Amino acid sequence: MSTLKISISDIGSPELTKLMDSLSGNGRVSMNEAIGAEAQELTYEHLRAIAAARHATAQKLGASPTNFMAGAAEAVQAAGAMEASADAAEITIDHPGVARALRDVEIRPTTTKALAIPIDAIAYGRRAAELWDSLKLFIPKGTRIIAMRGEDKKIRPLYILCSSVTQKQDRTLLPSEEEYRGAAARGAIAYLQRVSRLN
Amino acid sequence: MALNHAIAQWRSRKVFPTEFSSAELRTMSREFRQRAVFSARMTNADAVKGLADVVDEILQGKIDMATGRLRLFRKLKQLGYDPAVGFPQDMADVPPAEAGSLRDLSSASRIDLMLETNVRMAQGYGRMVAGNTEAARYAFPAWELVRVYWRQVPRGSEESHSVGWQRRWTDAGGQAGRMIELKDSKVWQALGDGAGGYDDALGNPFPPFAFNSGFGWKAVPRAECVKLGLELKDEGKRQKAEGSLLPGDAEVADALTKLGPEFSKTLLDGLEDIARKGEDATRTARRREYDRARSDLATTTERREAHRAFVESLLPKEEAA
Repeated sequence: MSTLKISISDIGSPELTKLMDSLSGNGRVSMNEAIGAEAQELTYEHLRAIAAARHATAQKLGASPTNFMAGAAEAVQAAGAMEASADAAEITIDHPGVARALRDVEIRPTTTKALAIPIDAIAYGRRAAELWDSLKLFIPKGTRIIAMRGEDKKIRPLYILCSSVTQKQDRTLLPSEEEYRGAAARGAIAYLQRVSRLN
Repeated sequence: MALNHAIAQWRSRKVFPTEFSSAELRTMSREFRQRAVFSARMTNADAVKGLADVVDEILQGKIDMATGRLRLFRKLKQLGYDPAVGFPQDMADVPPAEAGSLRDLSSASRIDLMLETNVRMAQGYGRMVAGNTEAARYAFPAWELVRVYWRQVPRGSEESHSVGWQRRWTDAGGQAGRMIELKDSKVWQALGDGAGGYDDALGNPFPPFAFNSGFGWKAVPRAECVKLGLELKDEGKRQKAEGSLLPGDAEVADALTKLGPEFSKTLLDGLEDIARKGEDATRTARRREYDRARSDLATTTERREAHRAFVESLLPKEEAA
């Protein structure tokens, strides 16, 4: 689970800070709701663009993309993914693909002795256990791979075994701070225009 | 943390084991389909419960689709499911399924379909709820139907021998061109009902509108709706007339009045400047993704070769020789 927090003070508008300081809880929550909705939409569109563009691993293996980041995009839009309080708007993304935007992620095996990293189109997006029986997978002696026998009876490596994997932080998986500031400003403008019409 | 409507809606559904085919299930009411967890020919209650649990964990972000698929596959094996005969001691009269086909409950394609459809329907419901708050409806009055999920053979392509979303859109009453309609438009339910005679529709006014659809919603900002000539309702006037102003809105409106028009102008000018810089940064980010995708495509052959060499290096020595 990854949480992004957007506070009025981060936006860089002294006038907006002044307006917010003059408000009690309700007004602040309403403003943060509008800001959060815009930031949520920005995050969704950003992940949708990434889902459409980043297929390097699938291409390298000659496999079909798994739509992993498309799932992350849809997880962002869920109601409850954005919560506004008097202090800030928070977006919580319930998807394993987004944590890497915020920090290095170390993955260790939890139920097995090693991680099996797919290195073949057949294995891409599939757990080794799922294919173990149907493809008669095995670990060739003296190797750190999981393989199958090809039609020519030769060993075809499908996974490489690792004790852990560290995925380096990739900040570009989420919009930049400048983009979030822009989205927050758009949310505030839309909100102010709406309430001004009520006067 | 706020209630996640996608998860809450999913958990409110009742497990419904059934011997019905997908065609028979389509005859059930929309209300039933929105309140039950089921899958065609999944007659075992434990299996349906297993499906419900896996979807719940995916929605919580605890597991990914690959792990979900493995869990459901194991559950079906544990329950003794065999595509040729179904579940052991099954009283239902379920025809045998070809192993690996969509009718085989344990095939990767069927499990993927069950998981993706249910996860996306729960998320789609959550999206609809989140997009219909007062603030969200004002800032983004319309939805646009756009591609979210990559598909090897998209609907409407020659290979698919099927009708594409543009045609389904106009059949549902939408205008030709960009598939944009106001959030409360009847087109969304018509699309979900398969208006025009599409029997793969899922019956919901939110995406996914049909089995295996890779399309979803993009929220359309107010300014773009105005530019497109969509007829926007004046929510402000309605609220004022009904006396239904939210306490927060009234407070902000009063504060703006007190701070004066000069302050409001400076505030809006400053915010517009920040918004413009943000939009420039977004354009740069989109360009970066586009360039990256092009570069990935251009170097695919080299990377495949390098990968092949890497895989070769992993083989036992006698095998590599």
